Amino acid sequence: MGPEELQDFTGDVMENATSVAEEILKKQMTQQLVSALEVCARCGICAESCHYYASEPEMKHIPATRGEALRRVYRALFDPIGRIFPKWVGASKLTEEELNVWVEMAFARCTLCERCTLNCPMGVDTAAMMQTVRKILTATGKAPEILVQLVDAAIERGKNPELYREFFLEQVAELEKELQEMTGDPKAHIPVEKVGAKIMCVPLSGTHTILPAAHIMHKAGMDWTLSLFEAANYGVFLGDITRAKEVAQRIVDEAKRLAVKDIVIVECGHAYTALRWEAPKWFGGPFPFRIRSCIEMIDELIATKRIEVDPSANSEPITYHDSCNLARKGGLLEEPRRILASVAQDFREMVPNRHENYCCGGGAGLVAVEEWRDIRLKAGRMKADQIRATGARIVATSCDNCRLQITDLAEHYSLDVKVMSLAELVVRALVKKERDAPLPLMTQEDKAHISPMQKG
Amino acid sequence: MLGWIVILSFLFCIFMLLQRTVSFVKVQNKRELAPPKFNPLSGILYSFTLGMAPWAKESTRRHWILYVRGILFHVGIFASFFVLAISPWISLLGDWRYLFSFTIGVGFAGGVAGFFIRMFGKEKALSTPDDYASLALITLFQLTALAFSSIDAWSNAFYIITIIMFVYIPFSKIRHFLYFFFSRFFFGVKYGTRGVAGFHR
Repeated sequence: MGPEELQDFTGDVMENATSVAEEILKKQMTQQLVSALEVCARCGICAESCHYYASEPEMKHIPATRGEALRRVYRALFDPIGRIFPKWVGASKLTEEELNVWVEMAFARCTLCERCTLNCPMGVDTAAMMQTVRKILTATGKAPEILVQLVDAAIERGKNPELYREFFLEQVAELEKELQEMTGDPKAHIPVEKVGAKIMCVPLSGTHTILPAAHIMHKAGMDWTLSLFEAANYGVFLGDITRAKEVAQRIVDEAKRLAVKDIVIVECGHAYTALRWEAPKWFGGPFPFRIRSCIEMIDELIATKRIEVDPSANSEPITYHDSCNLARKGGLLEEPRRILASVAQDFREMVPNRHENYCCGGGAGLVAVEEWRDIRLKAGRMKADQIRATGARIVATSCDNCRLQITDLAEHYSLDVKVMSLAELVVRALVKKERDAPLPLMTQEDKAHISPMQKG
Repeated sequence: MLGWIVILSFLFCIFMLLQRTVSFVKVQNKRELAPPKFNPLSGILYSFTLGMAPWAKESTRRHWILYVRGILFHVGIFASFFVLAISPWISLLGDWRYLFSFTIGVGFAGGVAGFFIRMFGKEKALSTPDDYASLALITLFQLTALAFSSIDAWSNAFYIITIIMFVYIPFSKIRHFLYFFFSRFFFGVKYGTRGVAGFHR
């Protein structure tokens, strides 16, 4: 289904949700999706790989069970035996009730982390199937309202940037003062809309994502500019490529207008994976600039000694949580570890880690949906156990959703840990001559600031 | 006569699977278009080789007995097909035919075990009647292949089961073997390109 066709579906309230859903499924087919639908042997070996099942061993938490929900409909539509003898192959027509069950299954009980895919001998891509289910639910008006509002607000900002540009520039001017205080350099500057800058840094809502990156880039003497737009792309969580592309389009257009060479995404898992790996598919090819995560940039700055760091500044035991988007789906496995090896004195790995790491339970937009808070906290038990086992006092992570979720997990499971971003740890470790004032950690005010902005 | 029907059923099976393959290829391929971090070929090679090793995944490390059972079951199937292919000339194998009998026997045991696991394990809730029928048919295919590889007189039973199996494959869960190659290929491309899985690691 092309973006325009999907727009037709998303534009209207559905009269007959099930027939629209089936129509979407028919037009949505890709080779990757057909493979995922056909290849599963229903062996159930994927069960424990899912953090939901590991935390609450119930049938509904087995990835293959989730996949079967979509397969039943697929067989009823595409399998010759499924059409003649539906019970024989487990085929069934989609019903309104089934669609309602899908909402929690796809949005609350799967974070699209792909841990099951890596653990499946067949390589069944359950996340792709759940993305399809999410797309169907979005098109039939059943997606969580908050996610729809978030993405629509982002698109609206892209259509009318002049409406909030002045306010944004005022905020940046305030931030600049903080930056000057932190760096002790009255000339420290946060450039915005700088034509010809080498790097365009795309932040998230909230100063805690801008200041550390600005501090590091200032210290490294980089030629950069701050994007007018935030990196978060909730269109991806809706499975709605049309909206996701519109959100990405704002950043792509700005980067082209400013003729930058690199886009650097601050520490955000889904934003990085969306723009680095998925967006080229939406736009039909690669971009005329590089897409990088700021952890790749920081890794390079440390390796090339453009910034000097002192690990004794971070003497507490530190562990690192691999965001699923950055690690398993994004390939940033060693970069954060090299950074931590430079800036931390006592780094302790979680087990398992890297691409085998457990999802924290807050991914794929779940952290933004308040009514599913209990579900995500239960699903985060494995992560809480992993953190506790390390004995670390600081959990470093490179994703804001993970950060919020782990902060909640720390409270819920009584973990005595502080959650910090890698960039914050790097700023703490910048050698003394370069570090004049401590960087404030994310405050309650910051946290309060994130939600309204993210909620549009 | 039965031999010719086996060939006809085999051709039918191949035709139906080819038709499925053609339909599959016509569907849109959501290619990776981002500049790769690593060579996707490395990921593809890994996906079909070491990526299938029991120690490569947490799930198969944890359930290695189940996984090895599955591997032996499939090795038994390949051995059964080999025996089928050479069935008119099986006597030429001499005593080597008993090596195949042994391999198929182990595969058959894997099939029977799989049946019980599916009936009494958590797979039960995931299974459809076709899952049982497919497994039963393949296991029966191995049983008759085992009998035939030991005693020539079992050829008719072997051929009859083979004919039923070839006709049933395109409409059943057994066809998942066709998609296995596509699925592992896409797995290799995606995670290889992104530097998550591959020989570079």
